[in-house]
Formats: sequence, C-alpha cells, structure tokens
Amino acid sequence: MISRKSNGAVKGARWLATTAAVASIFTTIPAYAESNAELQAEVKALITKVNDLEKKNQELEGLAQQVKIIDRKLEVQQETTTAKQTDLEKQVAAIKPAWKSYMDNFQNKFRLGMLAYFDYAMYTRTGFGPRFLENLNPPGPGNNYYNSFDINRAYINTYYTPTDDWTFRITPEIYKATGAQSSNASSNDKNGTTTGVGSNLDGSMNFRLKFAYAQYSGLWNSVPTLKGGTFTMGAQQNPLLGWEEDFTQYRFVYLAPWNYLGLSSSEIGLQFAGPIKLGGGETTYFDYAAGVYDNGNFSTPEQTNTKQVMGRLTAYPFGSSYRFQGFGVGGWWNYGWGNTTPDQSGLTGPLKGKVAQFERIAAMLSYATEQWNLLGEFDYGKNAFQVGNLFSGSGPQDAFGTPTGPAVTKAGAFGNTGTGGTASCAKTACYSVYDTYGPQTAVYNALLNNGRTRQVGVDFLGRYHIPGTKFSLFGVFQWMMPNDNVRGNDPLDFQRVVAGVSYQYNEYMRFALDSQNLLFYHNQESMPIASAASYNYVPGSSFNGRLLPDKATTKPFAYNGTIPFLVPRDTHAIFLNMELSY
Amino acid sequence: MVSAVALLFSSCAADRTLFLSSGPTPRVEDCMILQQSTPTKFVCNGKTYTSVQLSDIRLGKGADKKTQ
Repeated sequence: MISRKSNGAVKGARWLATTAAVASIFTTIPAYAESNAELQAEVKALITKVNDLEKKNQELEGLAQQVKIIDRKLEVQQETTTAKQTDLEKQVAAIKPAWKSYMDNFQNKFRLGMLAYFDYAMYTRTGFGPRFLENLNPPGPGNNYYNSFDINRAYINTYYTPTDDWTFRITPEIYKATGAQSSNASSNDKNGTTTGVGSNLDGSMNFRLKFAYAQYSGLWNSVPTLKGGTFTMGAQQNPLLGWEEDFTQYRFVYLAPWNYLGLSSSEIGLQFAGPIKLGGGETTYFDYAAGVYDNGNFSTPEQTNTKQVMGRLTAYPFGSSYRFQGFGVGGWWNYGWGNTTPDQSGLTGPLKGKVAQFERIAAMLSYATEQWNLLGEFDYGKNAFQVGNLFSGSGPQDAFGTPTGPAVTKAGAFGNTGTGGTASCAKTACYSVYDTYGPQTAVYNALLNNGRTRQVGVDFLGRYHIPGTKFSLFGVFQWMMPNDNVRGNDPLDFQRVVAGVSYQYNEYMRFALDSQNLLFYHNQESMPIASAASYNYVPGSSFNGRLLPDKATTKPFAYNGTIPFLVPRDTHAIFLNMELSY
Repeated sequence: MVSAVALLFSSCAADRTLFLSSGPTPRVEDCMILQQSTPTKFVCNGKTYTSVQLSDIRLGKGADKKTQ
C-alpha cells in the first residue's frame, strides 16, 4: 500500500510540473520578443527539472519494486515458518516415551517361553536300571508300589534375534538334584573344627544351563540348495537326539534310545545343520547336522584334551515336503574319548571304561505322515554303555562306593583263604556272594567297563493318531545288548517297552498314560569267577573296602565257585505324564 | 469295557468336545509336531503353524495363516 501511494504522488508531481512548464511558456510568449535568450534559459531549466523529476520517479519505482520483493520474501518466510511449526507440532504429538520405544523394539526381537514336564509314576515292580526319564531316581528292588509326583524338569526358553540372521538362545533348566542325603556324614559340610551342617542338596530343585548358543542362519543365503542351513556355537541340541525327539514327539514321556543309554541331549561345541533342497526348490532331499563337541556335556565339566565328533545325515529319496515327511534313510556316527583328564587317560588299568575311546552308530529307516510315523533303528556302539549308564536311574550302593550285605570276616570264605596267594577275610572283610550286590556289581564293572565292549541294539518307535479324536497311540521297543562280546548270555541284555495313549488337550498341554518297562530277559544265571576274570574281574581284589570272591584251589578252602544272581530284576511302572509348552 | 468306552465318547456334547476332535480347522490334534520350540511348530495339511496361530484359529481370533 505504501508503494502505491508513493507512485501516485510521483505521477501527480510530474503532471504538475509539465503543466506549469507549458503555462509558463504561454504566459511568456508576449515577452519572447523581449528576451529570447531568457526564455530559452528558462525552458532549459524546466527541462532539466523535468528530467530530474523523471529520474527521481524512476528511483522511486525501483524502491517500490524492492519493497515488493521484500514483501514477498517476508510472505515466503512466514509460510515456511508456519509449515515448520505444523511439522514440529506433529512430531511433538507423535513423540513416545523412550521406554515404550525400547519395549516395542525388544518385543519384536525377543521371545520368552516355557516348557515343563510333570509326571506321576507308580512303580509296580522296582529294580535297578537306566532312568526312564531324566532326573527320575526311584528306589531299587524291594520297593514295589513306590510312587511319586515329579516335576521332571522345567525349562525357560529365551530367544533373542537382533537381526534376521542371528539368534541367541539361553535355556535354563530347573531339575531335581541328587547329591547327598543329610544323614550321610561324609557329604555334610563342616564349619570350623566342631560345627557340622547338614546337606540340603538332595531333592532340591536346582538350576543349570541346558542350552546356550549363538546361531547364524545366513551362511548359505546365496546358495539356494543349502539355504536355511545354520552354524551354531555353544550348548546346543545333539544332532541325533534333537531330530529324533521331534520325530517321535514324545520327549515328555520317554527318552530316545541312545539318550536312554546315556548320550547327552545337549552338547557343547560347534555345529553345522540344515536341509538340502536340490535345485533350491521347496522339497527337502537331505537333512544334516554335524559338529565337534566337548567329551563332557551340559551337566558334566570337560576334562579331556580331545574332542568328540558326531554327524547325522538323513536322506529322503522321494523328497520331503515338510520336516520328516515321507520315507527317510538316515545314519548317525559319534566318535570320542572318555571324559577324563589327560594325566589319567594314558594310564593302563584293568577297567578302562571311563578312559576308553568310544563310538556310537545309528542306522535309521523312517516314515512319517501327519497322522502316524514309524522309526526303525539299528544301534552299534563301542564302549558306549557303562555301569554309570546302566544305573543312571538307580543302582546298588556298591556301584557308588558303599558295600551292601553283611561283611564276611572268617578266614577262607569265598576263596579268600589267606593261602596260596589269596588274601584272608580274617584280615580284610570279604564280600559274600549272597544278600549283597557287591560281587555282582564287580562283575557288571568287568563286563561293561573293560574298554573292549561292543553294543548292539534294535529299536522301533511309532505314533498313530486316532482319527476324529484328540488321542494318539504311541510306543517304543528297545532291545539292547550292552556287551555283545560276552560269551554266552550277557546277564545285562535288556529290553525296554513303552506303550501308551496321549491326549492333546490344546495347543499347549498334552497328557499321556503309559506303561514303561525294563526287562532283563535272560533267565537268572551265574558266572564262574574264571569267566568273570577274563573280562577284567580281579578275584580277591578290594572293592569298596571288601575283598571280592577269589578262586582258590588249596584245600580245605578251595572255592571254584561262581558269582550268582547276575540278572537284575525287571522294573515295571505306570506313568501319567503332562507336558506344558508355551 | 466296550460299553464304558462307548458311553465315554457318546454321552453328551461336552464330552464330545472334550474327547473328539471338533471346532475350526486346522486343529492341533490333527497336526504333527514339527519342532518343539518357542512357540512349538506344527504341520497341518502340509502347512506350518505355530501353537499360537492354532490357538487363535480355535478361539476365532485370527485368520488361517501359515508361518512359511
């Protein structure tokens, strides 16, 4: 507005000047004759004034234009400021508390779950043998109808996936400890010189790490045939047992065959695993897992300067459209050394079970549909089943350092005559062969821990879903010869039979009612001491502080007898299992 | 024994829901466990589902979505 007013004033002044100039010309015509020179001078002066006014007018127009430009700039700045303020207001309105942003991000990358196995078990007939499930340790013979509610084990599953290719998993396990009874003086604790404290370890629920690993899944992203393969470091699933437990689907009810024999389900080491899809299609033709691991495992410390290797390869000759689907042919191999320190592993001794090199093999045929599956397995082992495995459920005290039965202190008992190179029971108490498990356990040690054992077994595992119901039938048959090298019948040959029905309550809960049985199927038998000695049973040696039966030929105490009652008693149990998985 | 089992499976609607497979499909009891994990994965009619997805389908919370 100011510029327009200025412009009008300038124009008015111009016209006024021009009019005045013309008027002055006409009024001065009569005087023209008097002085032409004066007129010309006045005209010139007027023209000069007009020119000056025109210049000023141009200057004013220029100033007005500048004012216009400044006005426009101010408008643009105001518009920009308004837009920025609007954006800022929007941003302020959209701002979330820092903790909420963190939690949203965390939630997308973090998974927390739990898995718990509960059971009620009634042992209609108790006996010594491997555990039916982890952390179950029922009493031995003579405790029929022992029963218990068990929190078998509980896992807290935590997964963290910071990127698409990396997964970190930590799975603590809560399990029932078996360590020491408070009445056992040797295992209680001492404070100072006179104070004692009872152990509270036995039966307590302990906490340990079952799985803890970092897994990279982007290794083969650029290779379509191998895509999906993983590289895992840490405490992770065993290449065989992880596959087999998912195949059979009843980890909460029974142990897979090699797990029942003592193979750990969690190994600490490095592992490659994944499917092989020929041509990069959707169909799987091979499934593999292989790695190098400690000879110890998640529940035992590593002691060796060697490592064990194991690998599994499952082929699906007709292709598998999802995991396990269709006909599969598989093999698994494990090679390692006993978990002992280097300064012990080289020592020579009669029983090398714990220090011996071991080997395990499984050859498998499988078929799986969504409604039923069947797995047949042939097992071969070398030094892979020892007394510790035989009595992982429960065993005689003699296997754990305490002699059972009455001590024999008279001279000449069971071949320990004190003559002819034998020891005397009068000096050192002897084992009887009756009412005890001592000599029998010594024979078991000789048969299984001699460093030259060979295991052979056959297993069948299956499941069938009853159509239209929430029930499935399942079963296991395991036949194992713990030492195929024993001449004649090995008293420890056994069969395990599990059969039951499961009920799928919902996506997170399952129940199973089943019968689990361990059958040492040979008739009761004895073994001549001479035969036992050929497996590194040492006649007359000290075992748990007592002398074992000897073979004496000197009369009147000649004893060329046998170790009787070598076939352990069977175990029969009825289980009600429950699985809670979320 | 047979009559007891027959009674168990045919007595009333509540029992049918409890023991017989019913409800929206796919149902977990008709599926096969693929991998026991967090969450557990199942395969139903050739498609992979998690336990959470199957639960949502049963409860009518979500659509029929497969994980892979």
